[in-house]
Amino acid sequence: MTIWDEQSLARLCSEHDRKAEEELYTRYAGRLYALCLRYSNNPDDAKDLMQDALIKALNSIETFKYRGNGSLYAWIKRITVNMAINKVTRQKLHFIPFDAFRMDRADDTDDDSAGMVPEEVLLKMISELSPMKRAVFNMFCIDGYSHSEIAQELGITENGSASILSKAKTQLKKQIKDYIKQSEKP
Amino acid sequence: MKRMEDIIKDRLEAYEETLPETGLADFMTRLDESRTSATPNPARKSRYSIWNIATPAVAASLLAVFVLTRPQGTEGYLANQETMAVNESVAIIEESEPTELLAQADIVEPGPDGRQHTAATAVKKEQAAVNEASNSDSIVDSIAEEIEPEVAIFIDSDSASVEADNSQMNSPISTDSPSIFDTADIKSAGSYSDNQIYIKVVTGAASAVSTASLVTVLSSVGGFFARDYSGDIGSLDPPSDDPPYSGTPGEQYPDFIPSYPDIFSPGNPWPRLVKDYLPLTIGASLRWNFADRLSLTTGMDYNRYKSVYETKGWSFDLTRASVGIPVRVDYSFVRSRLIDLYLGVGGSAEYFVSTNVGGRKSDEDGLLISAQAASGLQVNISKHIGAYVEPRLIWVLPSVLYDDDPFRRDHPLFLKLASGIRYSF
Repeated sequence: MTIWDEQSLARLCSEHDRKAEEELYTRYAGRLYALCLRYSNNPDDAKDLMQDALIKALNSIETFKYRGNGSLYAWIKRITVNMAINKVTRQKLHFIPFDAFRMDRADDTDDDSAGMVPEEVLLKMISELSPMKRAVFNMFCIDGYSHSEIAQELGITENGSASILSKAKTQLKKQIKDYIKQSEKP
Repeated sequence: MKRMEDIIKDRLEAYEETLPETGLADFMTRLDESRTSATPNPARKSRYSIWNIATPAVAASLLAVFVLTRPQGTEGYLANQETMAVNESVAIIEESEPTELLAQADIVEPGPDGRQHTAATAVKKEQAAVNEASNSDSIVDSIAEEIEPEVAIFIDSDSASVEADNSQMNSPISTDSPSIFDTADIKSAGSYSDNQIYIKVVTGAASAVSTASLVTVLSSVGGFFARDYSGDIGSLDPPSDDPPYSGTPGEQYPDFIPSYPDIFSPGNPWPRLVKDYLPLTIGASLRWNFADRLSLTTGMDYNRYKSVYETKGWSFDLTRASVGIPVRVDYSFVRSRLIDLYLGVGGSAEYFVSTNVGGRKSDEDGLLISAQAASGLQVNISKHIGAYVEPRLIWVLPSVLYDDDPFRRDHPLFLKLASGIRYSF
């Protein structure tokens, strides 16, 4: 089996090389699917989102500019996250509560109990958050967006983003505690 | 010890989920379908997405202007002055005694327009009554022959009543008329594609429907402004021998030219019916988002006020236009990339640039200061540009124009419908 570097893979995909397209799918689909599971609340939606993002990437791969190792995945990941965000923003109007000004400072205390939870369970916990909490948590904590960027992307305020993140973290902490308690029972 | 979110990031950032075995085959099939599909590249389509919002927005604005420039309230006959005058004159003729009809004929000089025909017909009816040569049906027939404006006259032979078919010109406004948009279609349009373009189409259409609904509701509310001062419109007895008007041949109303603003004076003894239209405002607005959810909004508005006055069988329009500068603080309680819903309070300074009474221009102008509260819907066309529709509640502060301005004098507190384009930063 041929192993292409990212640059060659992108070039061949832009020429609609079937083998290269299959290789791109094989190489990135698993990670992208996990990413989509974080933004969706069911596996079917996540699968559709992942496939749509990959199709979009392949159909516009001629615009990709190679910037070193890992840049192809970063580029596809960005497309996927943007599509996931678009899906969140168009699902419904987000009525921001009047108490959004209030900064809920969730306890930012150190807690490594999350390390005891399997990845698939963590994904499930994240998927059980509301769409807005899920999006803000993923964007800020995992995908490296700032509150300012989140506010712009989701059409909310920075304080609102911080407040939603705080609530999301509180809910996740509770879920993790409950899971550990449950798993410690004989 | 790491924070919870850092641990989650470490564990999930590079985590790979196992895909079903058929995943690759499914994906390649979908990829092929996407390439053979006739659907254009979404990236190309999105360049035109602005038009998908702008088009229904413009259509909604036109609909708003159309609806709001029609009369408000339950009586639709004021839509067309000519038609109204014909109907009323016919009614007068049917109900009046011969001597009164002679008096009417004395008041109104014969001429080429519809009213003068009616007056002449009144004389004919008087002659017919004196000579006892015809019954009421034949009189009505003669009236129908004489009245020849652009309206069709139907005569009910049983009741000998006359009815003008003015339905096209005067169709009453209905708040429950079917929408021109099918909401079911709109929903389905939004669900069959993830392309942003369709969402914007749906948003644009939804905003147009919302705007049209809002306009319909507000135009009904506008009926609130209709009021009857005297209730004896149609009385043939002039209140004095010295009516408050003067005649100038060749004008639209040869023997009735109101003297502005005396005609609007509460002391004017002539019976009147006054109908005010919902004021319209079109503007360009500037919004500074100076804090979370709070913004300072200003800009420039063009305001149009219109009233229809009737007195002694005549009707005329009073239209006034002003240019205003509103300043308001808005609070957005719903904000998304596409839509902004807000409430605001502030004030406005308006300078009247034109006044038109019965087809004649007046020199009245001046400054008007008002306080206002507004609620609004803004559809964001791009990052900085949005189209807004906002009903405003206006309270006019006393000013030099107050006494001369019947609308504001009688409605110091009134509703206004404003729309326009806004630049936000």
